[in-house]
Amino acid sequence: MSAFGKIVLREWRSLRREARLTILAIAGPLAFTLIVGAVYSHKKVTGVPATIVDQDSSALSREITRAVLAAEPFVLGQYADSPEEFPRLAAEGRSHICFVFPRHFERDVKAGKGAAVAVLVDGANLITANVAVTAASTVLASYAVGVDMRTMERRGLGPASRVARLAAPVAQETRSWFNPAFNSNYVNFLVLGLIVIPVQLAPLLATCRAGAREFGPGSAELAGLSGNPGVVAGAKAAAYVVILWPVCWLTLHLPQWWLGLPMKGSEGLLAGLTLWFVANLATLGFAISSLAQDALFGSEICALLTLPNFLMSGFTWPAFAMPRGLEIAAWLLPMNPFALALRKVTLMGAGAGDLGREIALLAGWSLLAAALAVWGARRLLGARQTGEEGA
Amino acid sequence: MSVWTTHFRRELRRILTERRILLTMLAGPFLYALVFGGVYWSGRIRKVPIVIVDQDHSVLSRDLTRALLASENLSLAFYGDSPADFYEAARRERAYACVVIPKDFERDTVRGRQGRVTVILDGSNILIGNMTSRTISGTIAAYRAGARARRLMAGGMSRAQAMAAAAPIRPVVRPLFNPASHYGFFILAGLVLVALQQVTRMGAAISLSLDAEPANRLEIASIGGSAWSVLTAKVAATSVTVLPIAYVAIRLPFDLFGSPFRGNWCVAYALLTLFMLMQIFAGYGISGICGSAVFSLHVLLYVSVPLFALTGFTWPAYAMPGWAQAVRSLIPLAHIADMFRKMALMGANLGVLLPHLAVLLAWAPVSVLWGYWGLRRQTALRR
Repeated sequence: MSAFGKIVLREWRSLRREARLTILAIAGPLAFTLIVGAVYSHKKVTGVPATIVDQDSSALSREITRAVLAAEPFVLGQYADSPEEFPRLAAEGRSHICFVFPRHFERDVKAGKGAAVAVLVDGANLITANVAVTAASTVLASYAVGVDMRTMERRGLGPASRVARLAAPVAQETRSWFNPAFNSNYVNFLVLGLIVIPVQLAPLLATCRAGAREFGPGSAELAGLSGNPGVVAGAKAAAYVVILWPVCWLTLHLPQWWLGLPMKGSEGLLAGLTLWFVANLATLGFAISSLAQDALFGSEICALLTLPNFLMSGFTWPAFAMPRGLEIAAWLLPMNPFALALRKVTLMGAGAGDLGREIALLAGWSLLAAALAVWGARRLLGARQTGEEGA
Repeated sequence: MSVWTTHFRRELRRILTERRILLTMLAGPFLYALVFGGVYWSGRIRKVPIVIVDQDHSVLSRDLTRALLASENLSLAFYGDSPADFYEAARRERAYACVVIPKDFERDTVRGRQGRVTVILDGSNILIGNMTSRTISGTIAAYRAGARARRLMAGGMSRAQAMAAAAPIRPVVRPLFNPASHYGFFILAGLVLVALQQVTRMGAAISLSLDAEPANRLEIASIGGSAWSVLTAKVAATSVTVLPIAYVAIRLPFDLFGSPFRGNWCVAYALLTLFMLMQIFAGYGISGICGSAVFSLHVLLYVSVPLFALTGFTWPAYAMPGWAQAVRSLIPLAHIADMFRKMALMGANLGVLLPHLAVLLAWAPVSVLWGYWGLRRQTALRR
């Protein structure tokens, strides 16, 4: 058997001695996905408690109230006498939106004077506020057009179709590509990105631990198997890639099977990208271990690198909205090219030709991680030699 | 020197000289707070590139285009010939929305046939999509009302009458607590609290796991003292180093990044102190369960994000499944984050915070006992 194969086998044998860490590396990403998936499993924000302040108590205000509460996101929180009560209700978490129908609302609308419905929104949670404002605006806009049409019909301006055209001279049709349910499906948006975090952590931590182990009491056995730093680094990383690639692949597919996350692109391409990403991080983890020479310190470096990685990756908050320096840093993070490629392949059906920038960045990380890992292996073998000479 | 003081000094020396604890506990909070704050510095998504497909080339279509691009939220990526151009641009992240103004748009609108504008959104990023959708819809709605009002004025109505008739019911939306819809104000304080929880637990778990090594066990035993004495000395030493850092780190979103704070800082510091003390005990408890420092660290890394997702800080609790809501109500991080958001954005007083505070107070003895159990397990000390 080649030295490469022997080092891989040696690494696998060592996993038995660290059973708990091995189980965590395999079960951790899956458990992570299950919990995060469960949190977002309803996919959309519903049950937003609404407060109604109806100072008009007219047929029209009651009709609009019914329409508002029939809209999917809303449930009735309570009726209140004054909008002054809303900030307190919001602070207590009992309401997040308040509709205020002023006195003479119906009279003003019927008299053609126009009337305003005040919509107070709890802006402390922007996700809730976005959903609530969009739904409220849609309901009220359709009512406005309806009232306008009824007024025109009363004036005898023609058949319903003509009246509809007059009331809304410019019609808007909105289509959402790549996530057709759009606002109604946060799973496609958030879960897809969040599951990249454990896919990143598993290979990074596993090889970091594996590399650092060699710096402890030392391993003459490893040096005896191969004196070639490239072989040592490659074999140690490969031992974990073989195990963690299927785990990561499964982690990425759990939301598809469970939550119906789409897969519009090529399965082969996704598997290839996952393999590439896992290999990059396994190599990088080994390099970090050589830098730290200690599993704990190495894991801490990995932790400091990975925790802000998701927020900086541009997956949720777009890179173009960050300050220039951070935008550049975001592009240079190891997670970024994979997370964005994953979204493009699964939601947009992108092919390899559409992933030029992501592939270039992955390739850049491959070169950097490989160079660092070889340097680390050389350091490891050098330390071994120095130790022996000293002895 | 008393036994307690000896343990206190020993722990303090370790925190300040052990690079593995120093890096996590002392550098971590600032690093995270600065990175998070930097990411959300602008707070709003502006200048989203959009594609305009103007198949009409009329005065009206150019006018609508100008109105769209006048918004600070939108910018022109390029003029396209068909929606297919947008498809390619979206896949390369060059554009996030497309407005298609069809042929005869002006003719249809002027003749009262209803001109139709198609808006195509890249729905893969909901944050960008939401903002773009609202901006475009708002502009088109204003345009629609304007067109309708102009027609009514041409029919002899006064401007005021025409405007009222064109928009008989006007929604006047007033976002309270975060009027500018600044994303940083919404999320930053919560993220700093997550970071503080994570680094404190990690540091405490590492410290106690190191105490489980035979040489350290012997040293602790030789100093003497009960398990309670060692526990309180360790917690006191950790607090002395961690709390000042936490006090500064929690101010960064507000003082450095401009988030409003409408509550009382004394109350905020008191709550933060309670929370941080609980995290130190929790770190010892986790060390007791996991045994080694490396395993504790790996476990904490895997659980931090799911725990944050469960807190309901971003995704509202009422939109979670029932069991997740129940779990959420038991997570201290969920309550401290809620309290800070309510204090900062809503100016909430103690009365509003009481239900959250009650949960934290209920957790306090549990975390102390958990930490005590962890310490006894790791150091084999008797009561």
